[in-house]
Amino acid sequence: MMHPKKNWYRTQFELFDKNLDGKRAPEAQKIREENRRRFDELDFPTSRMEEWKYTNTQALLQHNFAPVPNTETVRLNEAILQPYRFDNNALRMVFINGHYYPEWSHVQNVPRKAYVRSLAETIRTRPELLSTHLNHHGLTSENIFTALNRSFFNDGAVIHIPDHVEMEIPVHLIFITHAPGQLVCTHPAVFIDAGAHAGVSVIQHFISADNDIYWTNTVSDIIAGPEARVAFHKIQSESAAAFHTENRRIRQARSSRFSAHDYTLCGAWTRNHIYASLDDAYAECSLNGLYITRSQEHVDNFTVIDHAKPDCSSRELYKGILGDRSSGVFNGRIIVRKDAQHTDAKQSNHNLLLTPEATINTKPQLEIFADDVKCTHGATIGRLQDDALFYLRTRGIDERAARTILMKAFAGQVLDAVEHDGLRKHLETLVFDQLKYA
Amino acid sequence: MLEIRNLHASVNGNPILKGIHLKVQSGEVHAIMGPNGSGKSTLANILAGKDGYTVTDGLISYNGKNLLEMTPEERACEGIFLAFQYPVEIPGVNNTYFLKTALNAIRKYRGEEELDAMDFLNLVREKMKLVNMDEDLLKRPVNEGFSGGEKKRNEIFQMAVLDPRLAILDETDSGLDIDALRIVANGVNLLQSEHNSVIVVTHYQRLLNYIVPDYVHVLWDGRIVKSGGKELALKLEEQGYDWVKDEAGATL
Repeated sequence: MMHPKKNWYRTQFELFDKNLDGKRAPEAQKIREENRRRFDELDFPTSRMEEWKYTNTQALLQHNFAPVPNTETVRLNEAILQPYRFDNNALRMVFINGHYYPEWSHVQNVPRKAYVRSLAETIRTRPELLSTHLNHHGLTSENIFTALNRSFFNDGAVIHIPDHVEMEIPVHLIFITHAPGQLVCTHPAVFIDAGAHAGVSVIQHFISADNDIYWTNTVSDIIAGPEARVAFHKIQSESAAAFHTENRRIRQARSSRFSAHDYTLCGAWTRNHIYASLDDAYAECSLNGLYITRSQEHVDNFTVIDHAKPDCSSRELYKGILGDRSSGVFNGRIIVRKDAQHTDAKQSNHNLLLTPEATINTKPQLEIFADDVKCTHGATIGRLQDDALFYLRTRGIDERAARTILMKAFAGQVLDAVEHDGLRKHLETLVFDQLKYA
Repeated sequence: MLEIRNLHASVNGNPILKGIHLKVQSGEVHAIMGPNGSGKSTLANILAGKDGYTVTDGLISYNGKNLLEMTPEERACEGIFLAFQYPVEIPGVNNTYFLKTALNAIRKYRGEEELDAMDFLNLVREKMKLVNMDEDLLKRPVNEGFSGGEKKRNEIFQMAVLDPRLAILDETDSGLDIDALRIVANGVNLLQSEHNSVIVVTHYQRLLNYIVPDYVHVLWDGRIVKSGGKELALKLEEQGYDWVKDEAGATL
């Protein structure tokens, strides 16, 4: 039986096309059409599916979300960006309700030959740049949320760093959703292509001005060329009523280094799906995640690291601090294919439950088809240590401050992995602010 | 300063303390000795405010206040310090940060100005000398990976920085070699004055060679069954606890 919400989105496709007016570039329209066909074929996930066992999509699918055609009705003050600045030199791209907002962006200092532009502009002026990604990640997807994102293919960020260019300044993407009472959905598309020996650091903030109900459905396609270095950060400080889905696909070439830093700090319902494919030897992948949940928030981190070739290494560290009646899921799948001898993979997931009502489902999933490999995993679920709390209190530190000190210490290991000093300090501030409510 | 009257306490319904009486005045050093399981550490923990003990009878008054109604942090701010038998390792919490937070919490409670980084560092450097502590330990997480001796020294160092009115040393001598013992005891002695008091909880007499008590109390089966001067500790060292138990058994 067809899910009724599919009809709703089909109607939205038509509206979306009407609003495009004359901007219907054939390359982009082809992507939309292919993915709409795919969307028709795929089903929304249910908890009967193993990969969605602990995350119910009913909450997301009860709403009639719709994209907004432009930013004309937006009434926001630029001061909203202030808490999220961490480096005055960073290139900045701001998106409001899914649309690039040039007034608040500045990408003037892009190093020669590097390309940092909005997807809307790229579709208009350089559509051929998208072909690399389509070759690597495919035109369509097996994932219905990716198909939906591509069905509304319109805006986002395109970051291409040519061979041997090391970007000294980070690229900062800020996605703001603000359309009170409108049940907005946005479908940002982020493309990063780092050439051979290239280096780039990308930081994404997802923020809102109010406690609106909306849905961010983002897709990030990342290519790390031979010897390239890509650091990718995502900070979710969404509205407390927001839904957030991400599908991130990473392809790594020989001796490339990719690191992800995911901070899920606020949002009602989150599903992050990361798929990293280590396509050639000596690639290094590290995934670092911190999720802090309260009230009835739900966060599901589903990660796959696919070791396809020998001598690659992966490091995965996810930590969660769950309060109130919130819930979390960590699913860490590591595939070591037959060719991937000398794989060195390490995965850990550690959780602090602050209340008896908070829950976490953690599941390491190792699928090893090679025989000469080193793979370890560990998961823990615990509470704040009573003896450590007592020790701090006997030194004059009140209970609340003592709890905060211990939670900060717990989160510290994830924060330490952030290389950019200014960004790490900024993240510490955001995380510690969040812990005040924990 | 401290008065314990008829203190009864139990753990999970098992009575551990069965009527303790103890009075400690400013400037005094008291030793509480006794065989294993006599209730020494229970008494130390109850004074510091640890959860898990039920006081079933009696009272503890500290500078005129009801100690049992105070949280552990209030007790610390009022000048009580417990040197732990087993100091807790706290990964991820820097020793300096921890101590500065603690000191400033206490200073704030007392209506004093918080110390800035520079003043704090000067204070810390001065106090480290008292216990021959290596400055490296300051940069490490609290007690993490410290040797037994380093942990005990860290306790006395914290005590030196926090400057308590009443220090309770719970088996501070256990696990220390003779040199470390001398350093730790020396630190305690240097901090001792007519304004503050020390309760030394110990199984063995040897620490009392270095920290000389004004009074020695023998705890047995949840009661103080004998009190005396420092010579009592020597007699216990020579003759063990049996004669005290026999005497106590005769009178109870």
